[in-house]
Amino acid sequence: MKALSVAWKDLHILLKDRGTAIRLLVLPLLFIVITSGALTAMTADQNQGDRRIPLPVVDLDGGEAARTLVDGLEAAGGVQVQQYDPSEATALLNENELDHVLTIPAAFTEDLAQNRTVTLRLVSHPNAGTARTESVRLVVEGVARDMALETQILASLQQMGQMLADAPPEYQAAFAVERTQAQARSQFERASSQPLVAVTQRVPTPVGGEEQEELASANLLAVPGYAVLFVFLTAQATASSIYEEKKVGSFRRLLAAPISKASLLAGKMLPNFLTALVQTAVIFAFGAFGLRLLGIASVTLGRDPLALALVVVLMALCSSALGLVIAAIARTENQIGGLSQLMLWVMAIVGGSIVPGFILEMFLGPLPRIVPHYWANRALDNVMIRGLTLSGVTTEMAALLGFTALFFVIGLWRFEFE
Amino acid sequence: MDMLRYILSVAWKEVQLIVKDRGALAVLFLLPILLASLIAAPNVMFAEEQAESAILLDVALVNQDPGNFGTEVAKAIREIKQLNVETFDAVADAEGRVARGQTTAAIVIPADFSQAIDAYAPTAIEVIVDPAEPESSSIVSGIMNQVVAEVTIWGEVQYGIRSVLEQSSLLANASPQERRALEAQNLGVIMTRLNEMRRSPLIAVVSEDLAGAESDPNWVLKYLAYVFPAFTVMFIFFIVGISANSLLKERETGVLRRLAAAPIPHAAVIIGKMLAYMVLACLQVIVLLGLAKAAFGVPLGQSPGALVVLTLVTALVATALGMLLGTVARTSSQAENLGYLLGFVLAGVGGSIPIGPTTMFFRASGIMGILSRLTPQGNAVDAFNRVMAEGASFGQVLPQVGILLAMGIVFTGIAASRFRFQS
Repeated sequence: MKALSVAWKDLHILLKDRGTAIRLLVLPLLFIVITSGALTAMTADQNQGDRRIPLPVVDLDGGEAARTLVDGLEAAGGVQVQQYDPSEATALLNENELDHVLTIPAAFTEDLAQNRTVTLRLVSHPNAGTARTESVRLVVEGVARDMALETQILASLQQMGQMLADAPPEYQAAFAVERTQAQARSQFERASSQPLVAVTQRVPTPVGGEEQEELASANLLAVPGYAVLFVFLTAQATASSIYEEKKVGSFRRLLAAPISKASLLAGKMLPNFLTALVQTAVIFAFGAFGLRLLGIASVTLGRDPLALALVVVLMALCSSALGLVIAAIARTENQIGGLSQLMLWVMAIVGGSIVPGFILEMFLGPLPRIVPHYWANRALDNVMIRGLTLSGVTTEMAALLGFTALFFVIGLWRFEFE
Repeated sequence: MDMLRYILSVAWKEVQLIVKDRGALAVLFLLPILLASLIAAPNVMFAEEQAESAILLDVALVNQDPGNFGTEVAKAIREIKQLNVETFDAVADAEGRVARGQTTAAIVIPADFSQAIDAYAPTAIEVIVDPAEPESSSIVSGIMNQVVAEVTIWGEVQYGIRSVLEQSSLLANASPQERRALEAQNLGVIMTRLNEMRRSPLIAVVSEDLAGAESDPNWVLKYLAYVFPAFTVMFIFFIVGISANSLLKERETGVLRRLAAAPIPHAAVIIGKMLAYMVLACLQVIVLLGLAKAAFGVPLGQSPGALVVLTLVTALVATALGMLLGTVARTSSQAENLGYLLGFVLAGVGGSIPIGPTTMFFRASGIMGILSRLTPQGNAVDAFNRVMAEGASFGQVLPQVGILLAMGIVFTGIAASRFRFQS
């Protein structure tokens, strides 16, 4: 009850500070909008609704094979073919109006017919981005490989015919040019619609759940990451609030009041806890509904609301308890302001809130596991992206609970009224 | 001369206050260093791993096929240096690991894989990917497409030769010895094709940059020549909130009122404050870009003069915007919050939050590009990047310098006209 009184007073103070409230609620949404690609989607003036990478093509050949290549690129998905004149394409590429230009060389059709090696040139502007360029290159290579199949089969049949040159005439007749061409063509046509060996990709089916269809998009990855980042940034508010109380001497007065240290700290944690819950609700609501209004795919909140709710509650508790530790360690206003902010940002980055955890673990090893952010990110990813239920996040929840207990004990142990 | 002395006195007072605020200094210097380094390090690591083909991804392999093709594909997968392969007997076990995020992907070779290829019946290798690791999933699927390309050629060539022989009834009439000879020749043809395909693909795809160089080996450094200036500029503009807060605190505590009574020209107070924060901004550039050069080898371009001028005009805009905010905000707390928000919003729109190359909004076409180029951050990062990554000269970044200078003058003008020593 005494803790509630302390919390109620702190909530009043917090609600009066509109600047802080805006910062806690607006900044996460701003980060999500920037990194999810929503800004680009909102202001895109061309190809609205088409998420394929534009691929300008300069066809110097104009033959049948070039047309087959272009059709293959269109059918492959991922890129949207746009035909350009050579001079126009070069000028636009130099001005960075275009990111890539694929040039089909002259005599492409003739060289392929003669089984001569041909080279497709994909020229990219430095600003195109390595990942984007690599995606385009993989698509072009895949289509080129499929196109080469017919020639490979034909060359094989012709080679077999040559190896049987000394065999009886019926063997040579079997590998006559017309027959081998027809065979190669029929196999190529079949392979175009139904490849002999395909690679299919799917995501795992969660136990007892429906099959998921897609990989996580940038926005789905951004929402849990920034929720964790900003929820833990609120720890600074708890620390500041405790520092202010010490500064104005209200804690000294509370020494004389019949309130335990634990009740006092619980009361200081509660407003931050509630703020973190509201903050998470706003971020998730924006992810689920707001992003759709901006024209990009909304995020899913997983299929176990209870698991999500418990993870959020633990995350908010852990953040509040971390605030007690900051207040116990920091000695000056500057340390609480700048240094704690620095520490919280570093913990968030190491914990995988900005750069995904699986990338960080490749070069930091198990280091990210020492921060609660890592476990919070893992828990939210498991529930929201991997579609796991409560049983799939028990380890992560136990880790968050452990951090909370540890932070509270340190906060209690190091706490001083003055 | 007196004016200069007054300006320097005010600036020195401000510098002493700044130095005492260790928290703010940590935010202005350490935070951008850590952010930029944490984004730079994985990129440098990936570039090195690409060159050395080091282990990148954990995958689970389930080979249910007892035949030759399954064995060959499994062997090929294990030999790929980018993959750390763990073998499983049951699909459920491998899939469970992916579902829990313990493995990037599971590769499943079906039981009838060899049988299907021998019978020329379509078959598929299944790649089960972790939905939370889309980048890794693309890499695994891309690798598997390359692996199956060879098996496909094998199956197609084998079927083609066999079909021609069957259509001619040659196989049916052949003796067992002739059949063995034909099979051996068939295998010889397949091996020749595969070697040919590995040595020189019929249709080669060459990826080049504008200069015609194949896949730029310095792409990481060029990318970092965006990351470091972007974070530098982003954190320079956090001076906006700090300087506005300082100005308003002095008004709230009556310091400005006392200064108004002192024999110091009013302009010296503002200019002195701006000078101190400009020095701070210049130090930020020196520390961050110096670290970028020393620790990561990020190029600083061919024009030191252009970098110096850019630093000065960027510092001018940030401090002038801070003074402007100081004259608009009503309280020091409001100024700090507005400055913080303004810093993030303008950095976001201006392409100064470098999460990837796609955040270079100042180079984008359309409304986003226009909005980005309207922000001081967009112009500053664009110019720094041109000088550092593309070796642009001072003349080539003159438009951005001009825009920043104009912004600095306008902001200072408005701030000066609105400035009051007391509320």
